[in-house]
Amino acid sequence: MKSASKFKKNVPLLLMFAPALAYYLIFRYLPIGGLIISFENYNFFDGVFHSPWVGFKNFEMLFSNDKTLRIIWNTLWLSVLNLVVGFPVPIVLALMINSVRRTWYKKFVQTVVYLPHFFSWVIVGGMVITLFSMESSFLNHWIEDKYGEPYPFLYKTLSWVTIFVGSGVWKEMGFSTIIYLAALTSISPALYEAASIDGASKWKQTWNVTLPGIRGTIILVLILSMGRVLEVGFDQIYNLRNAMVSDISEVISTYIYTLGIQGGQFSLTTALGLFESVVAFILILAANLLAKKFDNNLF
Amino acid sequence: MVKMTKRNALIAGTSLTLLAVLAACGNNDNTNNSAQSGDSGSGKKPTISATVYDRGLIAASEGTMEKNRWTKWINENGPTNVKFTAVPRTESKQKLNTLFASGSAPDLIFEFDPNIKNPLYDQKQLMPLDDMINQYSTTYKKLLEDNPALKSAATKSDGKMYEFGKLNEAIPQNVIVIRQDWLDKLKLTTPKTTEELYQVAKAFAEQDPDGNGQKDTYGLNIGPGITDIFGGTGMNNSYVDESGKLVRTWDNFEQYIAFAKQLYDEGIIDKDFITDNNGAKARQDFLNGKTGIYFVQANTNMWNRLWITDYATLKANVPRADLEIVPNPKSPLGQYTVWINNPVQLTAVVNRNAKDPKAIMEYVDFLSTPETGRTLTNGIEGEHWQAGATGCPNPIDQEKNKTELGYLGQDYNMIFSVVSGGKCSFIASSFNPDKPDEKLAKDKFKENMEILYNMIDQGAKFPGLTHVEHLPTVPQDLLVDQQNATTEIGNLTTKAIVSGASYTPEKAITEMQGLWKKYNGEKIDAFYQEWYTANKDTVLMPDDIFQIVKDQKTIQEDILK
Amino acid sequence: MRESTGDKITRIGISVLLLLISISCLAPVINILSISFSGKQAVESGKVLLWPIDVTLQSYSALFEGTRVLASLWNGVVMTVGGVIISMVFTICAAYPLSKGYFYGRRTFTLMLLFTMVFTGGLIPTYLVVKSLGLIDSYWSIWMPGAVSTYNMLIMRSYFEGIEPEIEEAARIDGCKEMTLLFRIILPLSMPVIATLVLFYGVGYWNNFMNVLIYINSTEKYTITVLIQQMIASQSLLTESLANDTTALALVPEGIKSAGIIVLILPMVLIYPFLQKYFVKGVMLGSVKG
Repeated sequence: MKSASKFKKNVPLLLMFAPALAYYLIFRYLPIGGLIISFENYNFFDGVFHSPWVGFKNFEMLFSNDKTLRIIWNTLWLSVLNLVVGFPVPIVLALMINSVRRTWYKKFVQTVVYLPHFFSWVIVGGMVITLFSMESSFLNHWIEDKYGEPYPFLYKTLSWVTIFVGSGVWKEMGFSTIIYLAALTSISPALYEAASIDGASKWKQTWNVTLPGIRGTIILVLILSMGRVLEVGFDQIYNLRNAMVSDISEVISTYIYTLGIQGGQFSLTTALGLFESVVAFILILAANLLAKKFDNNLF
Repeated sequence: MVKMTKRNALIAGTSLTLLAVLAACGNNDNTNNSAQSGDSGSGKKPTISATVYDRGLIAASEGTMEKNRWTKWINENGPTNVKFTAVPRTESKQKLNTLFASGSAPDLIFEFDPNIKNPLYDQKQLMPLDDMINQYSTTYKKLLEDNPALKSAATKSDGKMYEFGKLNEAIPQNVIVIRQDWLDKLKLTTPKTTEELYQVAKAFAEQDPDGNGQKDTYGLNIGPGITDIFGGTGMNNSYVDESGKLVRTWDNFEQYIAFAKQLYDEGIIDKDFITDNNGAKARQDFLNGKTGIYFVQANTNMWNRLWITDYATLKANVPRADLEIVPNPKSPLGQYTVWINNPVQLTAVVNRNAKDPKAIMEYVDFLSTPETGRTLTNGIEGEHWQAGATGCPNPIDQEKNKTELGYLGQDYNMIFSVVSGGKCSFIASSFNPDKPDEKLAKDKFKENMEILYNMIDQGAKFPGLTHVEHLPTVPQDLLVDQQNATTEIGNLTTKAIVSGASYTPEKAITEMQGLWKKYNGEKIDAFYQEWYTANKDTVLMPDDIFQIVKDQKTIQEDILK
Repeated sequence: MRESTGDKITRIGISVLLLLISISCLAPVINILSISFSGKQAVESGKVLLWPIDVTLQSYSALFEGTRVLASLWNGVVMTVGGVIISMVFTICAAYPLSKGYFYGRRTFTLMLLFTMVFTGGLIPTYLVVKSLGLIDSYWSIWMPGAVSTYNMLIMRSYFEGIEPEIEEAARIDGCKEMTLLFRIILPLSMPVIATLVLFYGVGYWNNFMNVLIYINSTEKYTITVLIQQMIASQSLLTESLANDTTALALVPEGIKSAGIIVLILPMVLIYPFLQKYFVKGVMLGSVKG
């Protein structure tokens, strides 16, 4: 493309982009300056810019502590589990919903699986206890009748982690499905007809037509999920954890909360947040590099 | 990639500068944020700003928490105009922190939680109150002179007062109730020691007291106050004074763990107590007649919930149910009283940037008068209440009051002292003896108070060094350690209870001591020791709390007779 | 088209599985609904499961007469609708240029925007910016800091990129200008993604809780989510170690909370079918490449 014509085509785009750019500079980049408090001993009196400068002391304090390392480790493996299990489920669910022929049933399922997204974790936490507690859950009544002993699902690390991951997936799968359902609409029906004429079974069609059709969306969501690898939602873990699983259920977000309970630890918590961001950014860049191989990179 | 990073760094740098400019601008307009000048000469009332909790429980017809009939009443009858800022009750920490960080906090802040107020003091956000009290106050000054405990409680490490407070009724915070009908059926008597408590609980769990042929009852619940029987298990509160020296106690932990462990192992308590953080499951079991001995919070409104609402529900589910109060049983470590409500509670602080201390002081004085206290609790005479037989306010129209007074609580007069209001401000006056359920609540209240008086007379100990709200906050560098130690030792307690025979209480204590040492426990102990040596004569100690209970005895007995 | 036996078994299996999943999602709603219509004693004894006991409208009348639920419901609608419009405009403004291969600085800008997904300044610095712009206590303080979600913007960009270049070329040959192209061709073809983002933003604004509490000072502007979430959270006041708030107002009965939850999620359930049609049917043109 000639540069003059390229410029001409760029003018309206630049005009259009300007407000969005202004938004990002003002509301996103300006506050990032506040990260400076992770190198200070921040207090309200001196404010963001005049609080005493302490360099890397906050980071040293965090990382010299074996508790912090355990917390980061917990966060990492819980969030990786969340990702590994939680990522494919909405895709499979979308494919299943898409395969339903009756429109009313399709709409019904779609609407109903979308509901749990609106429950707060307090409610889901209560449901989890109703389902898995030792003495009052139907599940354990049944187990007790059959094997004589109830099973402490909520108090054993492995079963608790399963419940933790499972409840998160259950709550969000319907909502996460929407993005794939939208992507599925863009697959041309002609492709299915062609495959059908070739005698491909439903499985084959799914594998050869549907999945490639939404590959772009899948990779996009995957790259962006990398940005959340060190994130375990506070409400989820706070409402599900108990003393018996405290070794595994202390994560970055709950630790920030604990530090915050006594107040005045803004610098320390910001430092922890900054560390989280750096790791997330590196992972996104790495994921993007990988996606380049499939021609689906973001930038 | 390298190019990008540079560019981003550049942008981040620029954003820093800009943010500095913004912050500076932000500070400028603070000056006119808090009130016009307190020019009282012009005859116009000065204006101050104050917070009020928002709990979302105000009817639309009444307006909002910032603007309704009571804020109007305050502005018409008070010495100042008050501009209210609502602070969401459940998120007050976040809200107040942002207001202070951005320099837009109101002049007068009402807040219960010391964990929110203490950091504000550390960050130099609060105004010392000594001068304003000395120069401008009358009513509040008198209250301070009459009650030196209020002054010492409000005094911070630099020797100045930083908080307004109030005097509460000194009443039990928790109560233990027992199913008397079960006791009778199994021919048992009220447990007097922890050993008997265990025996009774065991019988309740095993001998089918509800007679349905199933083993579906619990002896007791792990609820509020259960650790107090053994002297309490608060990490910052487990000290005993041995001739001026604070000695950390672990026996209370050990005894409690041994007791609870036995109950757990023998199936006497609900195995899911670990996940019942707010006691909802325990309450449900109790209401369904599944729990024999119920440990429950019972101060102020919780008392009515127990004896009026919950008792009725229990009776609806189990018509022959009969409840009696159990005095705290004696443990191997001795006899402890129940936890007592903080009788000297700090509830308000003043913003360092407040422009008109005089107006603030006048407003605080106004709130401290009995008339204001009565109006902001019971409403207006003739409209919401009439004087009853006892001379105390009697509601005229319950339904109307529900709408018009229902949102008041104590939220507009959080610094009103119950002793200033006379006997009508005491909870006992609020029961209407003409209604059978309220009469029962009143009788039980009386019984509960008598139990407390007896305990104190017989030399029972307070479950802890003193009321936690009167302990200082440890210095910044130890806070994280203290927090970690408290959480981990709490978790260890639970684990020790449920982990079976292999995990003995002694082993748990050894591990706890190890944790305490690991998290600089010795430094924390030294800090408390230093504070205690310097302040033990002025700070509110259990003897002072017991004295307040005794001081209020005459008035309580007068109301309850 | 004939269906093979294998396909048929698969189809039935899927239907049954979806039914089970649906039941698991529907049961809690029915439970909450039943509690909201049940008598207080039955609720507190934990007897209400999937059917109301001692049917009463008390919880709803207490909710509607005793709180600002209607006003806050309206506020929620205003904040959500306003927010969705602003967000969609800004998001399209960012996504469309970035979807064009010939746009100057496409990679740089993308990375720059992506950077803000992980690096955020935190509450207090953002508050200072919003305050210095004079937005505190208006809905602009909710709308502006959250105007563009980078995640949503990238989804939209990727959808735009997927539209066949031939269509664009054809339009250009017809003499279409950039803006005409966007409004006449691109946006109509992008209804599924637009519907998706309207839903994402809408749900985001509707559920917004913390920002409203922090940025809005006048409680008359509080939204329904703030009202109900505060009721749900009030339980935690009881478990605070000090339990120092002895006010009679600390507790909200379970029935009223449940009624609140129903009122809170009902609008989101009602709006869904209207947007749903865009991703159930989809665009019929075979115009978007994989």
